[in-house]
Amino acid sequence: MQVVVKKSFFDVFQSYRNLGFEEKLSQVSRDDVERALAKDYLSDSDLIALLSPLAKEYLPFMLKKSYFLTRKYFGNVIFIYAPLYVSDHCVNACLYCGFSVFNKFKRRTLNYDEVRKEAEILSGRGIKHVLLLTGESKLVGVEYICNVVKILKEYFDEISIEIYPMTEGDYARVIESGAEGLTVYQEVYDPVIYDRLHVFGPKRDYLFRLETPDRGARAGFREINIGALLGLAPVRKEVFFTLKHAEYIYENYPHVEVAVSFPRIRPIHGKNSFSFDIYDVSDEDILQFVAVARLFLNRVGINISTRETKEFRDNIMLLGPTRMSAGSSTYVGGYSEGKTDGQFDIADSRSVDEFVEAVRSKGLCPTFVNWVKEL
Amino acid sequence: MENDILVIGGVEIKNRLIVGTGKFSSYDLIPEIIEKAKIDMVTVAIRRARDGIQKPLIDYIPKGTKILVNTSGARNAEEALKIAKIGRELTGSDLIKIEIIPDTKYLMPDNREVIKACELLANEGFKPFPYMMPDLVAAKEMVKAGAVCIMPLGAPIGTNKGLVAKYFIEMLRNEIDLPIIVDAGIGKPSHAAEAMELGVDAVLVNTAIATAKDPVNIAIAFSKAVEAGRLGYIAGLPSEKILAEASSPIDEYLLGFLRK
Repeated sequence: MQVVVKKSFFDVFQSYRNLGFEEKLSQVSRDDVERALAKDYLSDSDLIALLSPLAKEYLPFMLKKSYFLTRKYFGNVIFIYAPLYVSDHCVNACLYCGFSVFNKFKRRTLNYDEVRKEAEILSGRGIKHVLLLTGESKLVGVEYICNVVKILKEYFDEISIEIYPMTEGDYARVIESGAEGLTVYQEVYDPVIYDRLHVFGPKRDYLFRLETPDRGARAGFREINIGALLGLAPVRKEVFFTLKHAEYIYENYPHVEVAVSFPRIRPIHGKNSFSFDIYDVSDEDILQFVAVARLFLNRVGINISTRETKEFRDNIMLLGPTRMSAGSSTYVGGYSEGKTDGQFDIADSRSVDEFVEAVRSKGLCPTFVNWVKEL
Repeated sequence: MENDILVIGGVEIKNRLIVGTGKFSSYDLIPEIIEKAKIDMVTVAIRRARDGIQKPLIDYIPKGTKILVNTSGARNAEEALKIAKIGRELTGSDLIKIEIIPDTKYLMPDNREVIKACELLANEGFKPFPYMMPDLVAAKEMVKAGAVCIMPLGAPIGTNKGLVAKYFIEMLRNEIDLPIIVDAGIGKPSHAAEAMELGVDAVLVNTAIATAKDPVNIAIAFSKAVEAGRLGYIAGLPSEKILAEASSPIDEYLLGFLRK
């Protein structure tokens, strides 16, 4: 019997074992940054140069370039979506997450009627692209997910999922049920820190998580959104691997529309202290990462969620993002109950209507549909 | 020029500038551009046709404007056919721009799938407008498969780089008997005029209009450039010469002298 070992991003990741990222970052010169800024196609060294702290001096120029590229490739448009949390049961213990098994609170998995109720409210607000979220638990197995996707399909044009990593076969079933997009954050690319933060549960399996976009792309998702939860590990290196991962998906699964997010760690239920070291990520850093993502991968989708404040979202809106969530609740059943803060605390609590107005006031077209539902 | 009407797939258009409806900062700009630049035909991506808060995008297009549905989002011929059918139901138009883009990095069309889609769609009574990488062999296959025109890219979508593929578009112009519409890459009015001077039948512009500072006036500028290029082509353009040549009557005199 022939054993087929499928290629995955892990092979690429491994090839960077001796990269010496920190050293390279510290050696970046103004010349390197300026050369990278003049190019249309960026090499790895260019990417490192632009991600360096030194490159922050060039931030206005980078953002201008990012602005023009974004308008050219995406037009004057912002796609709007909303998350829908249907379960917070979770068997994983991840030190940064509100759903961690170590956190004691009354958990809930919505039944199908409750899902309908949430969907009705959300679609009534004009949302047409929904991101379905759960924790990881037997209560939300593939059967449940498929049924929920089918229900959501009655209310929305486009459905993405952000759940636990599945096998290729299970993803195929979810796609068959009507999902188009897969969001999966590696959280931490650094394997040592990953190990430290994921104390217990199936999420400890670093490799299985790293290869999730590969399985999703092979199963047929049209859109894959990746990211690292910034603040958990040295930030610039995490962004470097996020972007290399995005590039890898482009090169190996050209049919997939790739998007990246730069989520920063948020307080959970108002608690701002964590049991581990947090790496600082400033507003300026996020601006830099968004611009670099745009310069490195001109057509990549860039997603900014309501983890960020109203002021920050309004300021960054024109400079690179293509997709933003609005009117979000991270609380299971939150749309029916009027609660917003669950997995993490929302920083921009504007309603969908208010956000639409904000998008318009920037001269952008708030866009809810980018898919053919019947396909 | 009054009678210079372009007929594609049985539909007549007078303005040879076709405008895409994506990427605008507001859908309100679409009817304004159609009216002020006197646009006869627009393309609509079915995947966005139903977007809109007060009303769907499709309802912003004034009655009488010809709608060319595009299959943006399709990755293969079968998906293009599905989108075409949804588009026909939504718009009543059987003019379909076949756009099959399996490459999301550069947005390059897949000629092989486009050929297949031309046949699938033509068999279902559609009039296929294939968007393609200018390749003569592929274009001939598309004609055989039932295309009503050929839409070569000038440069990749959204790049505004102009007629990067000029030489290959000229080849199509010379060898294909159907209308040629240059689509994608046209970044400024002079690019559009240049395309029309080559003798292509129409141009399609989206990004350069939708993302301009003043979309309405740039649309008018494009419209005029297309008209100028067309008029230049019909009137006959002088051939380019490597050496300067005096255009005085002395030439005739000298030639007369030599002939003696």
